Amino acid sequence: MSLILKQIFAFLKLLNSDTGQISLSLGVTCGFILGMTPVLSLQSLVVFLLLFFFRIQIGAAFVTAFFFKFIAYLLDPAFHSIGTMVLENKDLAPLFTTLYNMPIIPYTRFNNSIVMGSGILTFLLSPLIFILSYKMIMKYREVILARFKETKLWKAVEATKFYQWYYKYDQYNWK
Amino acid sequence: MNQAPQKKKGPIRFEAIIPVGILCTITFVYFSYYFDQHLKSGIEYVATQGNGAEVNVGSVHTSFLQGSFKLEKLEVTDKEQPTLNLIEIEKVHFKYLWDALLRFKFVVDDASIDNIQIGKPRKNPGKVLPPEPAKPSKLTEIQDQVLSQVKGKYSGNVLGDAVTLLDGGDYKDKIQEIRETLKSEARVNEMIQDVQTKKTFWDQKIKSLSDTSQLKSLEAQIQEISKEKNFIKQMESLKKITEGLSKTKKQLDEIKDSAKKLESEVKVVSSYPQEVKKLIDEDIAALKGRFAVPKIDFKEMAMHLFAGEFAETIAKARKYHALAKQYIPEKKDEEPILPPKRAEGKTYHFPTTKSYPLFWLKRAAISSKGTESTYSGQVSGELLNVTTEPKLISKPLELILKGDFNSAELFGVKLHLILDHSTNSPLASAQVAIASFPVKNKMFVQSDKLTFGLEKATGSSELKLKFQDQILKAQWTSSLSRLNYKLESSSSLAKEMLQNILQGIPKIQVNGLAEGPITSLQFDLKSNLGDDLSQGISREVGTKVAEAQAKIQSMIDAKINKPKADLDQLTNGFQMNGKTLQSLQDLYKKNEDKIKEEIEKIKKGGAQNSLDDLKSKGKKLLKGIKF
Repeated sequence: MSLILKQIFAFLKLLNSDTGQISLSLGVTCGFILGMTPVLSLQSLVVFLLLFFFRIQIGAAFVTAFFFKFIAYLLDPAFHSIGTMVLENKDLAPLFTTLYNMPIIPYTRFNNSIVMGSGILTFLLSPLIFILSYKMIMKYREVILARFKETKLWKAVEATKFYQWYYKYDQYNWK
Repeated sequence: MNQAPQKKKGPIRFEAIIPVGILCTITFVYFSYYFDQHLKSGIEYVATQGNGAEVNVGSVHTSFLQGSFKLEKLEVTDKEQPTLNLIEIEKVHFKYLWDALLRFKFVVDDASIDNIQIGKPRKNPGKVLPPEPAKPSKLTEIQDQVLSQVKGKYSGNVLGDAVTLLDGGDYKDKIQEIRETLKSEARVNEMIQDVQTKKTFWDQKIKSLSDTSQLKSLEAQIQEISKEKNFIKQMESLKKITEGLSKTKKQLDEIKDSAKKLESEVKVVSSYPQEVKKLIDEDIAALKGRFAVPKIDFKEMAMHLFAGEFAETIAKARKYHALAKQYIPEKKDEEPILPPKRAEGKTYHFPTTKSYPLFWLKRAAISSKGTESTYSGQVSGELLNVTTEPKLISKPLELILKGDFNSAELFGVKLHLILDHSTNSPLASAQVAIASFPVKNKMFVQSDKLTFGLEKATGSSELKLKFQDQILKAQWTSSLSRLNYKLESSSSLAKEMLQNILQGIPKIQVNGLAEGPITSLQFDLKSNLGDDLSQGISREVGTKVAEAQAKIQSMIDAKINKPKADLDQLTNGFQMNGKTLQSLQDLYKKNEDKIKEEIEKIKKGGAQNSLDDLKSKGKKLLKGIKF
């Protein structure tokens, strides 16, 4: 739990810093995939491994996944329709039969209508989500964050001893 | 404090990869150097607990990359004799299919079980676990289902009983000593008293009802009145007669009621002789039981001699079948496809072109090469299609073994076991044959009076078992040759007679069949030993049994015949009462009808006469007047 909280705090800090846009955008994209996938499957496991081994912002992934879970719940009927359409396509039946009888592949649960529907949508939309999130982060930093930093309240906070002490503390590389 | 420059981090998260790498290395080292040892200890512990005595494993080698499992020198201590191994296997080797492992399925394409040895002495006696507190076992219950069907019903004591009779016994004297009242005797006396009371009552009743004086006087009155010319007087007398007739009618009604009552009592009394007969039979049976007059059925001699052994074999087969069933599940009906909850979507199933059950041992070669001096048998065979999902592979489990065990003098051993749970109607069948085996001290009868059996012989046997749809069919053929009988008896007559019979039996042949639901098997056993013994003994013993039975019969007859005859006489007399009453009833009825007829005649005749009389008187008057 503390690891997740640490990651979420790191996400907020990184979001409000001047660097790590790509890491954040990748995190949002991974969160999108995790949020849309209905159950723990092989593809979810692959995403977790990517999060673990590559410098992708885990906090951003978790926060986004939590957010997209709600949206996915509402989109379930659409996923089901898309999945049913694809799985019932007679031309694709030989391909699915081969995949169904292959080792490991069945653990993706591709033969479930919602898994298939959400899988197709997330596959198609993830590059778009990456670009969109990248642009939104940049916009956030340029517009909202810059304006906030100009407010009297923030300037008052910056002037406090506590903030200065914390700023210095944070500048050191403790890791 | 100098501020450390922020180092730019690359895309790979090394701070996470390094601990994972270390963990993987530790796991690799564990599985390479320690896992086999721990698995060996685990197998030893679990098998020891299951066997109830020490089980040792020489070594275990597993390979993740090759998907193989090798177990060497498995020693299972005999719980009864801890200095011996119940079974010892030199090597067990399995190799799993990677293709199946990637599907989380365990398929053994080929395996081998080498050098099986039975009853080999251990280097050190094996530890035996303390027995668990006794509790009713399901397996014991399963075996008892079969054994209870022959237990008590068939036993070798039939020969012992025969010897008791040949011995003369003292039952004759005991029968003579009976002084007590028999059940039938007491009841007959009660019946006699009852019939006597009833007869006395009905005799008196019939006597009073037989008084026909009123009827006779009525007849006389009718005669008289029919002669009467005066109409008025005739009518007056008729009135009296009608009154008399109604009294007679009342008497007839009483007779009718009495007849009905008597009829029902006659019915009860008529059933007395039947009841007496039944009680006599019961008395005979009770006396036979008390004086242990054996009911010897020589036709079933083979059943008495061999049924116990046959049932024990079937019970053992049932036990092993029940054990096997735990590990080889029977086919279950397809589960109904329920509509999944909306959020779960719909799961599609595509044709299965290649799939495996969770566990499938396709083939395991079994071999053992022994010599005269070792405890190994010359065994070869194979175990086929051991699986958790027989329906999926649609093949039955088969165990085929052939071999000789020199040390145990077992030659030509053949075993073919089939467990087919791939269909809706699971089938279990077994065929076990031993071409030659030694028989030592096999006793058929062991009692105070008689010890009879085989000291030494050579046997051959074949057992075929089939269990399907809760119906068991077991066929047993056994042959014993080179017979060396053991015969001891307290009766010299019995011994001599049995010796004579046995001299003519150089070979014993037993053919058995048990068929039916497991809880009510129909046993049929035939043996030349049984037939020859039956023929020889039934001549002698049959006479003795008949004598004893006749003695009891005559004793009962002596006690019961007189009162029975008295009862019969009384019953007949009583039944006569009924006839008397019936004839009385007929008489009254006949006379009543006759009287009624006469009254009608008088009524009509009287009226006509008075009219004619009036007419003649009128004519006379008219003649005298003359206008």
